[in-house]
Amino acid sequence: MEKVSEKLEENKAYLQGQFAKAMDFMMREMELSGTGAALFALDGLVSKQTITLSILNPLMQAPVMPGDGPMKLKFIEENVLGSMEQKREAQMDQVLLLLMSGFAVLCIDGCKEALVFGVQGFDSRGPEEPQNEVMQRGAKDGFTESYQSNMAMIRRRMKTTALKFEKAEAGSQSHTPLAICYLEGVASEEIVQKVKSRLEACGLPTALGAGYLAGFLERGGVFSGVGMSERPDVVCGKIEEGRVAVLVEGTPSVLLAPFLFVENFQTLDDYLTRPFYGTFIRWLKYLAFFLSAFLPGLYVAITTHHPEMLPESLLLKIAEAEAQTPFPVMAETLLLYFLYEVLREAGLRAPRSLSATVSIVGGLVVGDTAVSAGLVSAPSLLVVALTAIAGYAVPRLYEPLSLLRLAFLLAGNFMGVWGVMVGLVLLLLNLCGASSFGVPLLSPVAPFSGRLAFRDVFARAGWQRLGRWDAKVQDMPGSRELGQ
Amino acid sequence: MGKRKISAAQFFISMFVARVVVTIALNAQYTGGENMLDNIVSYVLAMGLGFLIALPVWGLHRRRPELTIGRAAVEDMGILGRLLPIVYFLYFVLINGTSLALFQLFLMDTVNPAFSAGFVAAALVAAALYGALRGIETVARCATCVLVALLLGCGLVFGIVAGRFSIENLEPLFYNGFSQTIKGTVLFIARTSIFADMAVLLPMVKGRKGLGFACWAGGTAAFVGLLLLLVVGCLGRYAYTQNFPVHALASITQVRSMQRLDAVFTGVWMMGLVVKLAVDIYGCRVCVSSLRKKPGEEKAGAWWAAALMLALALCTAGVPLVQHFLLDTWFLFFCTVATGFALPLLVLAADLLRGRRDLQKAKGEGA
Repeated sequence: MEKVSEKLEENKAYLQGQFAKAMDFMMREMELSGTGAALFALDGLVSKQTITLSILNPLMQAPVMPGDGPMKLKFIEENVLGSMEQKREAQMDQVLLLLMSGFAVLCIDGCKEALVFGVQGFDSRGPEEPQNEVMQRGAKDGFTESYQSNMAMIRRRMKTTALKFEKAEAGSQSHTPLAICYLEGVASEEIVQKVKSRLEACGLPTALGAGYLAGFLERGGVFSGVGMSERPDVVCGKIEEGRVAVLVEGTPSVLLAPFLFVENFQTLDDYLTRPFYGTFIRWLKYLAFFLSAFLPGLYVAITTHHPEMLPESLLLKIAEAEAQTPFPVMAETLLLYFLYEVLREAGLRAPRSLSATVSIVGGLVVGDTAVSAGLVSAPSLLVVALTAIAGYAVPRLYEPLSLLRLAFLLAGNFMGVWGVMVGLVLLLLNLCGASSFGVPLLSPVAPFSGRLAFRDVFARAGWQRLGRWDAKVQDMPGSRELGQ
Repeated sequence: MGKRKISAAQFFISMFVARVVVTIALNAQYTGGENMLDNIVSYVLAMGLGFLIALPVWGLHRRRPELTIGRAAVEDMGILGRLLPIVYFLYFVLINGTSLALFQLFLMDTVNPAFSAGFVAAALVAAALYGALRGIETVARCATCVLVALLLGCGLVFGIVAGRFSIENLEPLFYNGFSQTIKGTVLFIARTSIFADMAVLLPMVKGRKGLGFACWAGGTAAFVGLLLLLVVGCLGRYAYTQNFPVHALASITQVRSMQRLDAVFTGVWMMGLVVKLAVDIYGCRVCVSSLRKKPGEEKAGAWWAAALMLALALCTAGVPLVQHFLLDTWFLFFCTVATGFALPLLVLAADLLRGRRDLQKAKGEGA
């Protein structure tokens, strides 16, 4: 059935057939001045109170309606109901989609169109501080699962008509609503179009989260060219620099594109503190990144292949510790690393009441016992622990880092420091060759722009300088027309 | 391929890194005498001659700015011109195969690692191939990062060993005559692939190329001058007994907690070598694309170039006879001058002739 039928019975039969064995399907039949009518909705998606007070009561209490079905529909539309979100719909697939989006549908006998009302009333979580992007001085509200609330949160912070929210959809089955958000005149028109076309080309049947769509906006690589944030203030800052945000219904994470490598090190707190401190924190994060990626590899490489690089006292201490353990340094470090990843995963997935126990048993009992039993050496444990802690200083890079440090560990074991160097060059080549919507991922470092690099990469400039809109993402050095 | 351009700064930074990598492998045996200070003059002379050698390349580039030498040769010289990209391809394989072989020799002679030196060479070629397949932009950006690492690494080593500098280690210039200076000049030109690189890659470069070349010449002269001065000033006569005196210089560095930095220095050398190999493998890609009939063939060209470079390096490092022949300074000098000067001059002449012929033809048709 493509179109809404003139006969109410046919519409009823069709909808009941479609929602057979669906106990949330609701139908309320009524008679409007001698003409049969029915109101359809899905339980849980609509507010029954709103339906009763704003639709059923006015319909029942309405005066005698004139004429046949279409005239009655017109009368109701113009004189009886005053819903803000109200429209006629003739296509049955649209009626079904709207029903499943929390609309109520009124069909009147003799009418080729149905009247639909926005009466959504599903429960949603209120804004809370995001657990994955904790800030010291930033706002304490985060995005929720409702993309409409998320739009409001952005709009509240950017009261400009240049702020646009374009509607889109993803998932041939889920029909997940999306909002493509950008600042007109600031964001590159080409990037906006590219985001739209890539989302349109997404052939997923269901899109249950922002992560589902991120893969369609970028093209592989070690580091992502699409960012995610749960904070409205962060998203507003990114939009202001010409980025495009994609708000996905049902997920508190907002996608951001283009997303450069240096952004992984930038947090809102950097901008809320004094510039010199922001710069200091930024460098700490760079150092943490290098420690996290290279420390296990370098430790294994130096202790196995280049002990001459270590001072004698340190070398003797490590040798003494290693002499008491049955495994080579590589096996030991690898074992500890996997153990740490297992503990992390267990701590993350275990019920909250148990996660503290997992941490204590894993971190203290297992670690301490393993060293005292002579299974692993204390230096190896220290290296893995330092690596793990350093990784959390740049949480956005946790995923690539966890694999990179494994790769460097293997390279360091087989080829010493030189293996790590070859790995570093490969990583550099990968980074230098990657781009996000035509903007080089490593920009403004490579290609280098001193003005931009010393504005917000190697140093965090003061707000007098940052306040100028001279750092749009599409103007980064090396950016070109969107070939990739 | 060919549409994307890199800046002149990026191109000449890549060339600088490549030059530094070659310089690191210098020794008294190659430079032809014991007074390495003479070689500072050699390098300045080599740079002076380099400006002359590069003239045909510049001339050709001015006439045909969008064409690589291979493409220009194919257009101007017909079937004969099709040989030119092949010659450049083989030259890149040769010059990089020998650079890689020198690194392998260094590993086998000086470092003697627990793993195969060939394995390291293969890893380097694989990394360079990956870069070359990703494109010249990728390699050029990576070269900038490597330059920073290289300058930091060299700065650290130079800064630390400067304390050991003794003026008594220096010998007067030209104390043993001019032969070492001349031999050094030949060596420096022989091991410079920049002329061939410019002939093939300049059409992919935008910006102030002349200034870039001048800065490259000045920058490398300053680097080589400082390096040789430190090698002689810090190591004295010990430098002349070393196969790799620059490494010997690095191995005497000591920073309180870190006792020796030669592993780091070797690592930096490797990074530079990857850049050099990647640029020239990309050059091979460009050469193949000048001849290609089907799209995608140039990628196969990169694979072939990488495989040949590795095979040549393994062969050179492993077979003394091949080593003797391929690492011969005069042989490399001939190859460099042929690809950097003679062939560009030939193509330039052919292009001028063709231009004159076309002009006469146009006049004839007009009359």
